[in-house]
Amino acid sequence: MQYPVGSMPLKPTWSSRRAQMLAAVPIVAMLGAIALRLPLQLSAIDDVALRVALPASLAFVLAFAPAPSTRTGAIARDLTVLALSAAVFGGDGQPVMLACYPLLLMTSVLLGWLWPHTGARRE
Amino acid sequence: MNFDANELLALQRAGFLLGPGAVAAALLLVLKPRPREAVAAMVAFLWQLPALLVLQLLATHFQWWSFAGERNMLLGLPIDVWIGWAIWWGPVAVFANRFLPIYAIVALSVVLDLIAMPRLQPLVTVEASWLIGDAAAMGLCLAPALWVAQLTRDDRLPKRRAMFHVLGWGGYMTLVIPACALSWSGRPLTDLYRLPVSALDWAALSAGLLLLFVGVAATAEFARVGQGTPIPFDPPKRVVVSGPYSVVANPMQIISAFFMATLALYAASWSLAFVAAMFAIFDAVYATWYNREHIALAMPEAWSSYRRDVPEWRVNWSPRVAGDAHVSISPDGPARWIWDRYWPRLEPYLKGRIIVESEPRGRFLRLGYRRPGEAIDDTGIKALGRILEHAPLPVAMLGWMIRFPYLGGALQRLSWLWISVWRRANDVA
Repeated sequence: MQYPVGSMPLKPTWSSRRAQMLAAVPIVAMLGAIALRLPLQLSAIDDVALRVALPASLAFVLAFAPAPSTRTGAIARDLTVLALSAAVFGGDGQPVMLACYPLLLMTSVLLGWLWPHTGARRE
Repeated sequence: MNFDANELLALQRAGFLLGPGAVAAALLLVLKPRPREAVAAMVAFLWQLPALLVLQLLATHFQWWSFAGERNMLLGLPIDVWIGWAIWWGPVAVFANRFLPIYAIVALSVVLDLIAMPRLQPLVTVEASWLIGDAAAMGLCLAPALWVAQLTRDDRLPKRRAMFHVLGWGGYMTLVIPACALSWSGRPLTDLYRLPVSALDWAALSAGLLLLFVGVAATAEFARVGQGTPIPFDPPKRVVVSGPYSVVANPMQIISAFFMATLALYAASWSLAFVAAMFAIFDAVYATWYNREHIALAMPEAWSSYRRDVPEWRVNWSPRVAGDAHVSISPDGPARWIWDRYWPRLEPYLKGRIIVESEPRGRFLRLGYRRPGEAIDDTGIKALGRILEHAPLPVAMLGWMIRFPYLGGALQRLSWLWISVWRRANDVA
C-alpha cells in the first residue's frame, strides 16, 4: 500500500454516479436553506455566505474528492458530506455541530466495523 | 449601485470568504496537485488560523487596525474574514508557489496590502501604525506558512516541520479552541488567561505544563527518529519506539484530551470540558482505528512487535527497549570520570542490553549512544539523555528533558563550559 498518501495527481471524480448523487445533497440543502431565509437582505449576505454557502461548498468539493482507500474512510467522507449539508440549517448550533465531529467519525468506524467487506475496497 | 454601510460591510465580508474559496477551488481543479502538495496547502491553512488570531490580538493591543461587524466575530475578528484570509494565505499562496518564489509572493502581498488596506472601509479601519502590523502579518503568518508548506511538499527538514507543528498545535490547544469555546458560551478569554489564584489552579497549570512537555518531546521524537510529523498525511517513515513512545503508543492523543481537560478545569468551563470529551472520543475510536488500519498495514512487522510490548492507552512504568544499545565513552577526561563514578550505580536500574565501549574522542563527542535498529544515534549530552531513557519513567522523563528541543543544545554548551572549568582546575591541556 502507499503510505500515507499516493503519488497520483488529485483529480475530481466528476463522472462517478455516486459522487454526483452525493454532491446533489448539499446543492439541494443550500437552496432549501436560502429559501428558508427569503426574502434575503443584502445586509445579511455575509451570514448566508458563512453559514450556508461555506458548508455547502465544502460538502460539494468533498463529494467529488478522490475515493478514500478504506471503507471506513469512504463512510466518513459520505457522512461528512451529509453532515455539512445538514449544517446549512444549523444556525447558531453550527459550532456545536463542529465540536461533535468526532461522534461522526466514531459512527464511521462502527459502520466500517459492522460492514467491513462491502464493495471492492480493502479492509 | 448605491449600498448603505451595512450592506457594503456584508458584501465585503462575503467576498473575503467566498473569493479566496473560489480561487482555491479553481487552482485545485486547474493545477491537479499531487497529494503531498495538497497536504502542504492544508498545513499552510492550518498554520494561518492560530497565527491570524495571534495577529488579531496584537493588532488590537497595538491598535494597528480594527474590523467592523457585530455578528459572527471572534476576538474582534470577523469569522468569515478569518477563514477567507487563511485560505488566501494558505492554499492559494501555496499553489502560487509553483510559479513564484516565496519572497515574491510575500512582496506581492505587501504591495497588495499597501494598495488595498486603506481602501477597505467600512470593513477595516487602519490606524497610523498599521504598516508595522502588516510587517508582523508577513513575518508571523504568510512567510512561515509558505516555508513550512514548501518543506512539507518537498519532504525536507522534518525537525523544522515538527517545530511548526508544535507551535501550530499549541496555537490550537491554547488559543483557537479555548477562544471559540469560551466565546460561544459568552465568556471572555481572560477567564483562561489569568494568573492562578488557588491550589486547584496551580495543580491544573502544573499538569498542563507537564502534558505540554511530554507532547513536545513526542513530536520531537517523531521528527528526529521518524523523519516525519504528527499530521497523519505527513507521518514518520518508521514506527517510532523511543522517547515517550517507549512507554505508551499514543502519547499525543492522550495528552491532547487531558490538556483540554486541564484547560476546562482552569477556566471552569463546561464548553471546554465538552471539547475535551470529544477529543477523548476522537482519540479512543478514530485514532485507534487509524493506527490499526494504516500504520499496522504499512509497517506490519515493526508495528506488531512494538504493540506487543507497549500499550495504546496505559503508560508503562518501564520503557520498552528493543535491540542492543551501543554506548561509546572516551577513555579519559571529565565524562569518563563521571561515568566511572555513576555507571555502576545506574546500570542495575536500566532496561535492555547496553554494550559499553571505550573509544578515543574524535569520532564522537565524549559520549555516544547508538541503537542502529531504531535509527537512533546521539552524542554528548543527548546521549546521556538516551541512556537515562532505559530507566523507569521518572528518570526516563529526565532523559526526555535533557534531549528537549533547544534545551538539549543549551545543556550541551553548559557541559562544554563545565568541562573547560574542570580542565583548568585539574590542569589538563
